[in-house]
Amino acid sequence: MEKTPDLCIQKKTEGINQKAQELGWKDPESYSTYFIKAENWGELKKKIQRNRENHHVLVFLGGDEKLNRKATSDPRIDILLHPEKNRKDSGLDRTAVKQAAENNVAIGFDLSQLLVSPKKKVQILSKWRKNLRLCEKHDTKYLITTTAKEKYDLRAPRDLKSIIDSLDYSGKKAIETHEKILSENLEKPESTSEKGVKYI
Amino acid sequence: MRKKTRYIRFRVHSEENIDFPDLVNSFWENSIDYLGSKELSSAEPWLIANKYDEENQTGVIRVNRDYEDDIRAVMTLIDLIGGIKSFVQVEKVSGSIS
Repeated sequence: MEKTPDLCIQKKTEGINQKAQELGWKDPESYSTYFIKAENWGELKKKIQRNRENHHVLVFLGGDEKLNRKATSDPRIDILLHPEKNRKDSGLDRTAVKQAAENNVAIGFDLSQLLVSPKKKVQILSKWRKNLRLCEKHDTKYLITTTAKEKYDLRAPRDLKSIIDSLDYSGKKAIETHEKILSENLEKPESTSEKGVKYI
Repeated sequence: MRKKTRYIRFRVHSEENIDFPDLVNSFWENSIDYLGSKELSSAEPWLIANKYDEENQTGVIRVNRDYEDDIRAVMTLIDLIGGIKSFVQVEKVSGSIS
């Protein structure tokens, strides 16, 4: 498998960068990711406007159903991460996933959500299955990540792939999406870029 | 008919060296948690004791070929071994043991 980036590493320390490369990821310092936390649409819009120009990748930390839907409707966002977080449902419906496909927003599955009690893990996995089924049906991009904050949160790309494979969906796609998003954003010339990505 | 098996060579990454009994406990806890007893009885995973190198933190798991991805997933979900923050990386999968 060719080296691919993990776009959602949350803290880029020397230890994490070194371990990530050792495990087969691209150097995390070669791209920049901005994570957006927002309570309402106004705040989300402001943060998108303020940060789109300065980062290769914009990730919205999902969980609120209304904001999940807003995020999938904005082509400036690259990834909607863990839409199911702290929810009883999966956080996405047919409309949101369809919208995500139209606006080229990928749905992110966060491994750290699975490192919980067995009961919670079952609930999360069931939400993942639902969202994966919707993504496949509407041809929406999806990816899996560790959102690592320290080096022992990391996993090798092939090992992350196996989680999606074991749920009977395409782990290969979930890993390749990282590279796809980054190269799409890097390829767009600054003047015509919809996402306004700048080279760093 | 003879069952087809896969041998998964892995490496443990952790702050401190991990003992084999702690690794076995963590592996079985995570396996039962993720796959359940019924699936595990078909996967038939086995950590091979004499293949575990405590110094290099490498070892081998034998598993039914059809459950390779499931066991890899189980290993990916290991985050604590004997109370120490760790993770397991699969290095190689083969049809025979060396």
